[in-house]
Amino acid sequence: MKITVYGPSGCSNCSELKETTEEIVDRNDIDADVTKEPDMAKLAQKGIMSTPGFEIDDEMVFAGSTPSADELESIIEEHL
Amino acid sequence: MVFEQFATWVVDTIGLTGAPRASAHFFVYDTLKILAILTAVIFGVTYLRTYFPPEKIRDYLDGKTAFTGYVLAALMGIVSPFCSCSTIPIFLGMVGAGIPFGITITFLAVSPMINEAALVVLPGVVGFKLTALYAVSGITIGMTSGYTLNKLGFDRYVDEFEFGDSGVEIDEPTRRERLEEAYVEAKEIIVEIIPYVIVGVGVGALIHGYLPERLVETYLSGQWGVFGAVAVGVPMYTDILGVIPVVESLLGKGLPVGTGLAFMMSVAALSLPQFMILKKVMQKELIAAYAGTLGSGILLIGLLFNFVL
Repeated sequence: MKITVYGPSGCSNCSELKETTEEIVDRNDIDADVTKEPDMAKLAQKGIMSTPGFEIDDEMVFAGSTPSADELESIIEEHL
Repeated sequence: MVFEQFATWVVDTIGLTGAPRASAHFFVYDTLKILAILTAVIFGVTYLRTYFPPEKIRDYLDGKTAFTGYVLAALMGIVSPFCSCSTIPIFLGMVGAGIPFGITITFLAVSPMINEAALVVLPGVVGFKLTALYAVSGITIGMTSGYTLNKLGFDRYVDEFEFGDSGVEIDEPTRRERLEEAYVEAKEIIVEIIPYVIVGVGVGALIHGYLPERLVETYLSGQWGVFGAVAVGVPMYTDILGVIPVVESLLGKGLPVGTGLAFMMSVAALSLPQFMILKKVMQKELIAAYAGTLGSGILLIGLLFNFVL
C-alpha cells in the first residue's frame, strides 16, 4: 500500500506522524511505501485545511488530528 | 507573586548586585511568567479550537455579508494556530471555497500579529491600555489591508491552484479526544515557541540591565523612531511572544508607546521567512502589496499613538 502524510515543512506534528507510521510499518512488516508531501499545492488539491492529512492509497483517512500510535496502528491494519 | 519571589531568591542566592542583578531578575521572572501563562492559555485555547475546525468556519463564512466576514476572519486569525505552516493551508482552503479575497487576506494578516496567548501575556507586561490598543489596531490594520488589496484587484496574483475536497468525514470528537488533541497540539506549539521566548527575554534582560536610558531618549524617542522600528522589525522573524519582553524593557527605558507598538507589530506580522512561505502560494506583486499595506498601516498607527498619547 501507499501511505502519504500531507504536511508542510515546519509542521512538527506532521513529521512525527510520518515517523510513527514508519515505525508501525517496520514493526509489523507491512508492505507499505510511506512518504511525506510538503507541497502546499498538493494540500490544496487534496482539500486539506487542517494538517496533517493522512492518506492510504487514494483514500484520505483523516486530517487535522494526530492519533496515538495504537490508534494509528489499528487504522493502518484496517486498510490492509 | 511566586515567580517574582523566586527570581529575587535566585539573584540573592547568587549574590548579584547592580545591572547584572536587574538583568538576571528580569530574565528569570519573565521567562517563568511567560511560559506559565503560555502553557495554560495555549492548552485552553487548543481545547476550545477543537470545537471550531477551520472547515466549519470556512463553511460558516460562506455567504456572510462583507463586514461580518471581515470581522469573523479577524477573530479567526486571533485564535488560529501559530505556525504559518498551518495558516497557509487554511488560507488556501478559504480561497478554494470562494471566500472573498479581502476576507482571506484579513485572516492571513491578523493571524501572526495577534494571538490569544499574546493577549493574555501583554496586560501583565505592558498594561491593559496598550494591550487593547494593540489588539484593536492590529485588527483594524488587518481588515483595512484585506479590503484595500481586494479593491485594487490583487486577487489575480494568487497562484492558480486546483482545489479538491479531502472527503474526510470530521466526526464530532469525544471529550477525551478533544483533550488529547489539545495536549498534542499545545505541546507542539509550546516547544516551537520556547526558543523565541528565551531569546526575547534574554535580549529584554540585557536592555533592562545595561542599555542607558539616554540612548533610547536620544535615538529612539523622536517620530523617526517609528520608521526605524518598522524598518528593523519587518525583516526580523520571531514569535510575537519573543518580541514582547524586548518591547517591555524598551518601554521601561522611555521608548514612546507608538514606537513600541509599531515595532511589536512589524516583527510579528511580517518577516523574510514568511515572505518565502507566501512565495509558494502567491506572486511577488501581491507579497509586495501585502507587505506595503501592512507596513504603512503599522507606521500610521505608531505615529498616531505617539502623537495622541
